[in-house]
Amino acid sequence: MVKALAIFLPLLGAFINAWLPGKSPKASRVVSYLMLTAGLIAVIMLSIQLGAWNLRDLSDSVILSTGVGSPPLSINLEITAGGTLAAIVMYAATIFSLHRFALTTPKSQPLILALLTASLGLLFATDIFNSFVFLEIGSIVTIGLTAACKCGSRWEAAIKAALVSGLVTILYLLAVAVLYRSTGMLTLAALGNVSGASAVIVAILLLTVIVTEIKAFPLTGWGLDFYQGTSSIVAGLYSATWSLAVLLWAAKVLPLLPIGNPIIYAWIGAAGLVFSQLAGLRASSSGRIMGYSTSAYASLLLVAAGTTTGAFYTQTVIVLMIFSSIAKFSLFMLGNPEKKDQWSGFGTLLFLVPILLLAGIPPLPIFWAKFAFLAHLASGFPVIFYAVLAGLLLEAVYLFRFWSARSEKTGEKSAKRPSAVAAVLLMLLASVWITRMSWGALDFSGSIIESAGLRNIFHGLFAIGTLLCLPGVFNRIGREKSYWFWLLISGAALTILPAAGNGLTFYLLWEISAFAAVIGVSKGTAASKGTFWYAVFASLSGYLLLGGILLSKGSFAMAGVPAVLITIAALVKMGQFGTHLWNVRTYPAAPGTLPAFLSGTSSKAAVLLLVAVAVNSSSASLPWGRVIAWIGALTALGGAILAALAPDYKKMLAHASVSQLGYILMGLGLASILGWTAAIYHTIHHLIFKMALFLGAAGVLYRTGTTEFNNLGGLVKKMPWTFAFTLISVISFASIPPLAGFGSKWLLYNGLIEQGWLPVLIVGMFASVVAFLYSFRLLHGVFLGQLSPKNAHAKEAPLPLLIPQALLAMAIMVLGFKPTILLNFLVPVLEKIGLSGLAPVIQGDMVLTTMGTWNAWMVGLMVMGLFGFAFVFYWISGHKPKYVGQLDIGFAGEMPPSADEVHYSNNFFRPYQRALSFLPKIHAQKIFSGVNKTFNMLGDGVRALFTGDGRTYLAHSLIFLLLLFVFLNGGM
Amino acid sequence: MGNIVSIVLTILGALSWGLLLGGISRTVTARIHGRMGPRVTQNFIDMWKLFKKTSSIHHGGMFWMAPMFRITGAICVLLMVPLVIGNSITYNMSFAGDIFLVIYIMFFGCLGMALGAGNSGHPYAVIAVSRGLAQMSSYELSFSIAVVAIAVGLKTFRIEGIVEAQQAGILSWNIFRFPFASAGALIAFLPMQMAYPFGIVLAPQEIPIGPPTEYSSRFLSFMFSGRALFGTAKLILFVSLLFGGASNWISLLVKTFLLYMYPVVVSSVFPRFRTEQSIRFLWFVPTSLALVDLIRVML
Amino acid sequence: MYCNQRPEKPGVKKGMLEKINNMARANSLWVTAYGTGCGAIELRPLGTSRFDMERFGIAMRPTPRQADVLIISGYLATKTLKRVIRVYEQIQDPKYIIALGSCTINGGMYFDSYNTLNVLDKYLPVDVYVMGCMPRPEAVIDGFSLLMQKIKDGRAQGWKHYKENLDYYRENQKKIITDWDLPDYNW
Repeated sequence: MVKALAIFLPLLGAFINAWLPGKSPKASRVVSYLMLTAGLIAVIMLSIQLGAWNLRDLSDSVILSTGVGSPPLSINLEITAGGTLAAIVMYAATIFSLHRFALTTPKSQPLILALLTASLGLLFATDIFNSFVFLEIGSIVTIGLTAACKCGSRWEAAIKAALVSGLVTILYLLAVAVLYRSTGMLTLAALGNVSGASAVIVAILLLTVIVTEIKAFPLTGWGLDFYQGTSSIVAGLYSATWSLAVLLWAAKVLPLLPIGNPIIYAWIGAAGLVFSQLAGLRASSSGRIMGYSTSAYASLLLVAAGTTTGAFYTQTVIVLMIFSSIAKFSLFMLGNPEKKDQWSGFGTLLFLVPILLLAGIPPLPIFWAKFAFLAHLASGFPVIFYAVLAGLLLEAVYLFRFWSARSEKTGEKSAKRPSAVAAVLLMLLASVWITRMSWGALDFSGSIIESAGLRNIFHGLFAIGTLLCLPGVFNRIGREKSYWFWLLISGAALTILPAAGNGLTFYLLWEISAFAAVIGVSKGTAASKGTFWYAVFASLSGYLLLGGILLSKGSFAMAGVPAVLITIAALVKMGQFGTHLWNVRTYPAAPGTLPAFLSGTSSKAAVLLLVAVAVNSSSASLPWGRVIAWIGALTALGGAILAALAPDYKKMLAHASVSQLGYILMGLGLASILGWTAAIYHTIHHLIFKMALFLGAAGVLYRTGTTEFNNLGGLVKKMPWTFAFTLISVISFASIPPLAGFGSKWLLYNGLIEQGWLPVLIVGMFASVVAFLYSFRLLHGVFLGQLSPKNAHAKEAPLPLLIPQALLAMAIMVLGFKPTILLNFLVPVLEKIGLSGLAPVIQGDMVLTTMGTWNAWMVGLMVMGLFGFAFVFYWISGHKPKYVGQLDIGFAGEMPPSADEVHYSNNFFRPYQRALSFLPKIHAQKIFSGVNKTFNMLGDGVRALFTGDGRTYLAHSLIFLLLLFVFLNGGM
Repeated sequence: MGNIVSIVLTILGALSWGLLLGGISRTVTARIHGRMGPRVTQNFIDMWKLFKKTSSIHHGGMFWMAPMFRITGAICVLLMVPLVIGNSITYNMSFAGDIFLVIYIMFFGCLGMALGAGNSGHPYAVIAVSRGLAQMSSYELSFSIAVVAIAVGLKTFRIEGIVEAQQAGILSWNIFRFPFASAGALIAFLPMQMAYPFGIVLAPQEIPIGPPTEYSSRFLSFMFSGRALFGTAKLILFVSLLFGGASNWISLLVKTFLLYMYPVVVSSVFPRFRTEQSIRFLWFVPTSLALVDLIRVML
Repeated sequence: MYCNQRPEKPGVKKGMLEKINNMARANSLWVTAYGTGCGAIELRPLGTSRFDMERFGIAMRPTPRQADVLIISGYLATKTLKRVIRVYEQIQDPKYIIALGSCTINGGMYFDSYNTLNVLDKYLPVDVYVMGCMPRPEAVIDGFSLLMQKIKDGRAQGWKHYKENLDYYRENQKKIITDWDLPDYNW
């Protein structure tokens, strides 16, 4: 009884609605809601009965027979556990979109209910002719709904759907005829009984039908036009009911097709994924973007059908398809971006969660399914694996571009769309549910880095880095929105990161941390570009990391391709060698203290990753250490030069950050104890000073509202403490003794000379001298020189920003004067992990290597003593100079007209730039725009297939059919 | 205790020697020009006068502290280099660090001066700093290559060790053992001493006197003494690196005197480079010279 | 932006130390390189090998902050006066003025010009006048040696006089400079 109610209540509702007189919309709505609610309850009961909530086993099913006799005269349905979950989604989507339809097209209610009935029927149909009936109903209702909606290009959408529906009908009926002729049966199971020539014909006909219906590449065209043409409400309902039903029906039929080796599905899917997502890069309207995303998931379905079987297949397909449908539903329900809907606060979150879900970001449900699925692919189908990874990356790119373009449109009006809210809540609940079920796969024993000492260093770094960024989160300027929650999430994930015990855990935490930070960045002012670049590069490094982890089967003991992939992932995360673009765009755009977190703390995750790869390798070294050291050295140099020429405070710090991370790479590439000591030392040092600098920048931004050097200068009198802490950090990173920075350089140079890597050493030394250029530029551009009248109102930065800076400055002093505190801890830890080379000898305050000596304490005492002596001498010599302002300068007998005119800031290192002019101007940006252009060209090439002409789409289907025929026949 | 006495005497001695050398160099330059030139003690008189001017101004904290930075940085370099080899009491603080420490602590004073110049608010001072830093980053390249070549070649970074390795007669001096590296370092020595053709920082004709343009009276005297100290420290460093160090006081004075005269003489016959010309010259000529020895050492 | 405090009146210093100080001051005269009139052309030969002022310890400084001596080289136009005052007041104490040429004494050949000051003494405290139109470099050196002698004897107190009678000088200056926009007190 429950079974029947679950399926046929909507149909009943549709009939009642159609019968009701048109003048009582209220009554018809009440009827619809009643029927749908009752149906939803029935479906939920069924799913509980079948144990569908435990996603591990979805094979349970019950049979529902109606009518008299056997199919095709009656309707026989097999209600599977997985299907009930999909049915819940369909019911819920219908319920939540009803009121939208009631507002626009009140008379369409019978159609909606009919669409739901057709979807449910197709979902559970066991008979091939029953399926045909439901397919027809669904198609016709879709066409009807589209034609009834109030949007400009509805006829184009409807006619294309109709054309395709006609073609599908013909092919399908042909297949049915052949099947019946050959086996005398019309059940789905009968597909397995055909053989010989009729098997080929049935297979190619049905495959063409399926590929067309699920809109997989190359037969995507009509779907794109349909999604673009129809109204967003129809598209939303369509994707959550009919599209989902078709996908799951296809998932049911595909393994049964008499096609020989099903791997062909995987090839079609993988190739289609890459090509369709290339074309997707060029899409701009939300409808087409959703169309391409649909195509991606259809391709994934094909890949899954070709490579997996049994419960795993069902599970993967159910999770992927259901949640992608929900995501699309909620995105469509939010409307078209080009209509300039206004969003703020909760509204952006509504928009964001589905995007993250589609992109497969943990801990959202699709992540788990994708991870397991890709792990399966990596273990047996490497080429398909690479193709799928590439396709997914491309998908992430256009999805994030969609989001970032969207997130800029903010305003007062908050989005209150129950359907989208419900969908997002459902996604979040499902994430909790699925995460809880997958919890067992996670491992927090920290076994990827066995050395507890190293682990604790990183735990401490991440925790302290996050904590120091937190006090200042409420000191935001104007249009920056609250980001503390995302900072906290990202920091928490990072803090746990060193405890990861396997690849999955590591990847999960890495992605959570990265994407929480991406969301945080999106809260900044005019952050859309920064967000987009960060999201794209975070996806890139994420997928590379994923590739590496999966190819090495989740273990960090890796060599060859996985190790290289992971190393590149770390380099991208650190913004090395060309990928600095994301740092330079993201940090200036990020709000408040977030850049301090990103640059100081978050980038150290990449160091941790490299350490993890190295300690698990046989020789405790990175693959191609010399190459990595060279990359580090060249990045250090290039970053320093770019930083010196940067026109913006935060941009300069971003370049400087990239440059300084290069030193860490040089140390790690060495694979000797000295090198690693230098690298870890510099990791700690970089965290300290870069956070202090960025917190200082946050204070300056908070008080002046700008970070452009041309608008700053002379703030030392207004913000003396910020200046003092910045000065300490600058002296430190310029590696001037007695502060901490010198230690890292000294250790590094000793390590490089020990291994005889003199060219790297020279480049590194040169870079460290170029660092003086930007260190002075930074101090002068912001704090020294003339105070612009624009900043006359500026005050000292607020305490929540100052106190962390003070702590960090103190840490710099301590580390500078007594580095042996750290070295005494660090060197024994590193000695244990089997690195080559001699360890530095520590005698009291003296550090000795085979060639050099360094006594930081004595140097510190000497400098402080002399400085103190000079200070005392100043006082006792009775020297009392008179303070005069900055404008009171010897100016050829004139008085400077205004502060702005005597402040030298623009084109600060012009002569240096001129001296550099012999170099060809290689801008990373140009390279990337070249890459972008290439991809756009490829995308355009693919896109040329989708002409927007219905006849072309029919031709595509037929050509696909012919190719299949040739290929499969040739194969047999 | 003896150590502290030695340190104090070193500082005073280096200051006097630096000022005297400055006076001598002014006379030498004048003679090259065909003039009589000032007394050799002129720099002492100037210092005294500046110190005893009755008023002075400052432009803020960093301006006020910059001479302290300058003097501290100069003295640090001075104390890190052993003066007379064999006489361990004159090694001062050189046990505390090696040649890398010396290279980096040299920037301490430069940074301080740059900060003072920046705080003065005078655009010319800052232009000079921007030129100076650009030039410094260029000559440090060849200087550090030379230093690395020598240090790696002698297998020690300790200045003491570098000097001790040169005690077997004149031909064991690094200038003969590492001729190319020495040439590179000696070319880098010219801009270090702000000698023409590299005198783009204190270019009195276009950016009045450069970074200290706003410094007056006692501040200026501190600046000058810092410069004198720093100059002497660099001389001793170069003597130790390239010319076998000094085995007694006489040889220390003679060697530093002769080395000091080298930029003076070069300076008085050359015009000035433009900034970018200077930078490019320093990038290519001395660097490629020094690289020859570096490659030799690597092989 | 400018210091509004009235400069303190300098005290009287005597004794052995002051004599040594004066010796040093006399033997290290640094001149602001600022040519106010046509006489500046006569200053250039001073640096050359023929006259060589450096043998007296005299040097040119490009900025008033570091100089001791301001040379008013020839006629002083009313427009230039403002700049000269500014430069003079930026020189740190003790400071001296040498006035070059007849124009500074009584206007010289421009005595009836509408824009040339006739009596410089009313606007700035001159320590040494050097006569002539224009004075030859020898005469300038003679003027310098006179100034050196005055400094050694402790008689070159123009700067003290200026500070003590600042109001008098300002009044006179403001009569000439109708568009006065300098800060009243300079350091």
